Amino acid sequence: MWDGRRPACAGSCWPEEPGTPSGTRSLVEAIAEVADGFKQWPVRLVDSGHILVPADVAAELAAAVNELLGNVVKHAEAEHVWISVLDDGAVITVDVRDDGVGFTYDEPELAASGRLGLAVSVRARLERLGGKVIIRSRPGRGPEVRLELRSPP
Amino acid sequence: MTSVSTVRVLVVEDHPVTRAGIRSSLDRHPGVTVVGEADNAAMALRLLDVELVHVVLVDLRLGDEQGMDLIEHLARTRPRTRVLVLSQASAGEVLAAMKAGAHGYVSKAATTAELTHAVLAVMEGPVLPPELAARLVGEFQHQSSLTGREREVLGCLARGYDNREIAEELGVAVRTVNRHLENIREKLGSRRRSELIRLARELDAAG
Repeated sequence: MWDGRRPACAGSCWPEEPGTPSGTRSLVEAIAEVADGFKQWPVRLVDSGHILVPADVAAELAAAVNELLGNVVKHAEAEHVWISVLDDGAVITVDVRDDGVGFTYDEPELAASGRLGLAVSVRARLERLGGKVIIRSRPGRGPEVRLELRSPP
Repeated sequence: MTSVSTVRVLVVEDHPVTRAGIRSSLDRHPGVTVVGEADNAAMALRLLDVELVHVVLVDLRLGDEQGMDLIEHLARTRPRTRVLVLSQASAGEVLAAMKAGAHGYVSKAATTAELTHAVLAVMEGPVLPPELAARLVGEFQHQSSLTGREREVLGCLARGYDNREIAEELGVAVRTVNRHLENIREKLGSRRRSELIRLARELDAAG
């Protein structure tokens, strides 16, 4: 329902802040760029404002989101995708949800059907950053993947 | 916030065509009645003196006037009247309107069903689109004024959950979710108009 003047962000809506310290990057911008590469469905991106993180952290999280969106293309039969990027001061969370078919998250079963690869590689990325991945899915409701990382001090 | 058989609505909007569109959208629902229309704050206040009104739908731009003035006035003088902003505004402006005392926001691009739903929902608790809830997560980042539960509710809203899904997620009643949202809204606090306008600009500039 939102249609504020700021575009519902399909793309790099925000220029890099002039005062961005070198070596850091806006996480929201990095993820918006990735989302912009997917034209299959409208991606609705909401954020809690600029979140400055080390550039390599932004790159790793954006790559994880890229993998998740790629997986939605392959498996989900989704019509909409939602991404939220939030920093509540303690934890940064990136949630990727779609309205596709959903599945019962069961690692052995997924491994057998060859779909576990994604979870493993996204998890590996987050573990490199000291974060974690929470995957939730229920049949009849699209899956949700949450990437969690401690906020920078 | 008591339950009523018909939600009585006052529409405050300076464009006659938009006003007529809102009225015809809302009047289609048996649980909603538009009891008055006003194109400025003074007329709105005169109507409020004579009509029982549950929800005031107000545009932030009323010709030369600011809807924000009316919102502040209503928050002070009629705290039981629910104020729903119906506008085409930036996240910063809407957040400032919430701080001035509004109970929710619905975009002018909303469908008839979304508008009606927002009018009914604002009777039960604040109506915040995910983009705005996400901004509030940022807003409250450096303040410890929210309880853990309130933070969870705000986080769910920012992730696009509706109130029923939040209630399910947290294992509480929808009524409880609304109570948390009301507390969050109250903690936004009321500030002076000049400060609110400055704040809206800052929030928009921060992207």
